[in-house]
Amino acid sequence: MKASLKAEWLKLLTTRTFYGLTVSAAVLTAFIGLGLVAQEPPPWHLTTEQFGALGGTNAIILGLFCLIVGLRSFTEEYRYGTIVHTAFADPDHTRTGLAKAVVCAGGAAALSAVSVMLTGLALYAMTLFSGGSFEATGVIAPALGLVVGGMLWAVIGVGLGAIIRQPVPTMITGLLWVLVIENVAAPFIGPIARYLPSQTAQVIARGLGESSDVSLAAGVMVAWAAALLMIGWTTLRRRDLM
Amino acid sequence: MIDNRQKRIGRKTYEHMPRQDRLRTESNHQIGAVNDMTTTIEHPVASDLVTQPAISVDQLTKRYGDRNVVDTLSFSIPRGVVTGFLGPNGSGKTTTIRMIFGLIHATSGTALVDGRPFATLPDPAGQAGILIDGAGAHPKRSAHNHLRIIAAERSVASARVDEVLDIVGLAGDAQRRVGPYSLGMRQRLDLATALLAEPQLLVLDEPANGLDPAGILWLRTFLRSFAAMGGSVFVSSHQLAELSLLADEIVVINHGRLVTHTGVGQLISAGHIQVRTAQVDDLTSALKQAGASVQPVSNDRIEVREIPIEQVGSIAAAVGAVLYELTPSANTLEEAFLELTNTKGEKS
Repeated sequence: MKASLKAEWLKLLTTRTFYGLTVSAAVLTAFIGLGLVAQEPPPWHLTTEQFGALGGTNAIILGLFCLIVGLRSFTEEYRYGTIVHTAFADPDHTRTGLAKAVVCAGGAAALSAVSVMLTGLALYAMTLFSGGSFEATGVIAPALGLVVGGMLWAVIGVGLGAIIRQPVPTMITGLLWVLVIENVAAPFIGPIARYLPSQTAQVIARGLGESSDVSLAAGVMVAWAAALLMIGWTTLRRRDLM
Repeated sequence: MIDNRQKRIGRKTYEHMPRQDRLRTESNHQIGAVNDMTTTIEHPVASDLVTQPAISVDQLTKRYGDRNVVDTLSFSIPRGVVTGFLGPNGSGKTTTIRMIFGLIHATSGTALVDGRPFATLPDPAGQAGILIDGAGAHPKRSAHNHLRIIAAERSVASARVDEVLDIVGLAGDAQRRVGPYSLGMRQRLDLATALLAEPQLLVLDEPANGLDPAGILWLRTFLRSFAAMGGSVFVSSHQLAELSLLADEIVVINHGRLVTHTGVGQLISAGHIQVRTAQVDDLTSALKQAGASVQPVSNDRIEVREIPIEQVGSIAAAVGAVLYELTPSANTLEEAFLELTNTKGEKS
């Protein structure tokens, strides 16, 4: 397992894509944060409630970036044929699947943490220059929520990538799911909609550990991630690799 | 030649060199010396595995829809030899190799490596190295990073990466991204990947593709020395002339079925005798009576099979046929292959 983890870390860190995604996510979430706050006239006073709302909005953006980190871990391997080498060392695919999930979750945590920190610093500077106030303790819960949500999105991505394999269809499916399908489906499925991944990610990002809703949402999202990873692993074992 | 090498690097040092270092030393020399090595270098295969074939395929079948791509195929690949794997395009070679390593699932039958299904080997990547169409490297990674990742996956020390890059002659390009590599360089990188865990078995699908003549010579020398030191090589290639120089045995398949598994010598020695005479009809009758297979080529020329050349000469003398030519003609591997697979004139 240690060998697979090391290999997966190297895979993540030896191309520029992960760094590009991290920088893009950080810049985008910081601008979104600044933009949302700047809708009100200065001076700006950022409270726990506003951080929660900001976390909910950025949960989707960061979630997409983390989902892409996860999706790419299998699809890139199929695209360039490196899956043969990976499967050769672990024909059972168990260690590979777990290692990819752990490493992508770790990568997503780092990506989310960088985004959260940059957004936090930008907002702090903004409020300081406007003569407003910054309730620093209110940042912690949404920040943790964004990191945990990002990690789970990455694991969902790993599972989805293992199921679909092809980079473009996998990416389209992931984006459609988060941006379109959940929104279209929500009015038709009523209260069940709150158990969909995007909804749960938003609940988590509004403030982890603050209410039983957050714990339930985290549990549901873990279940989504575990289910997709399991389906992906089963698919890998059953299908021909080439 | 081996004695000279041993003198140069010291016999004791030579015998205690890591196996791949010995290979690297050997691959810089010509084939003539390589065969001698079997007597001086300890066989590296564990004693309990020596009796097992390196690869054993039994009734292996792969069906896609109504079509059997591989059809009840059975053969065994012995240790310490180079076995060529031949077949026309679409004959099922690559599918067979992929099934042996569990990359695709067999519809029925078994494929064993060292007596066990590949996936159940304790250290699968350490026991076999493959170079196979479809396996590749991320174009944005350097060759060095590509091999570092695979070394990590296979629990191989990262120092080994530099060794294999040196063996395949890519050390100078190791830090460059793989994307702009030529086909020959990619082949070398794939070979480095196959060698990374110092396997006992190499399975190579068209390894000479894209290699220049020097690369082909290097590959041949390298694989011969690998086999001479106890390794097993199973190599599929369309370069039949090259394969006839490299392989000890040949497995030929067509339409997914085994055509023959024989020694290269047997395959190419089963040639014919060219006879030119003015008395074609008389001689043909006499030869056929003696059990020969006779094929007319032109008005004064026939090809004779299944009897020795001396007997052809005696029969010609007995019937009073004046011979203008009596020439033994060994099949080339190409001729034998085309004959066995009935693909003469077809695109392959």
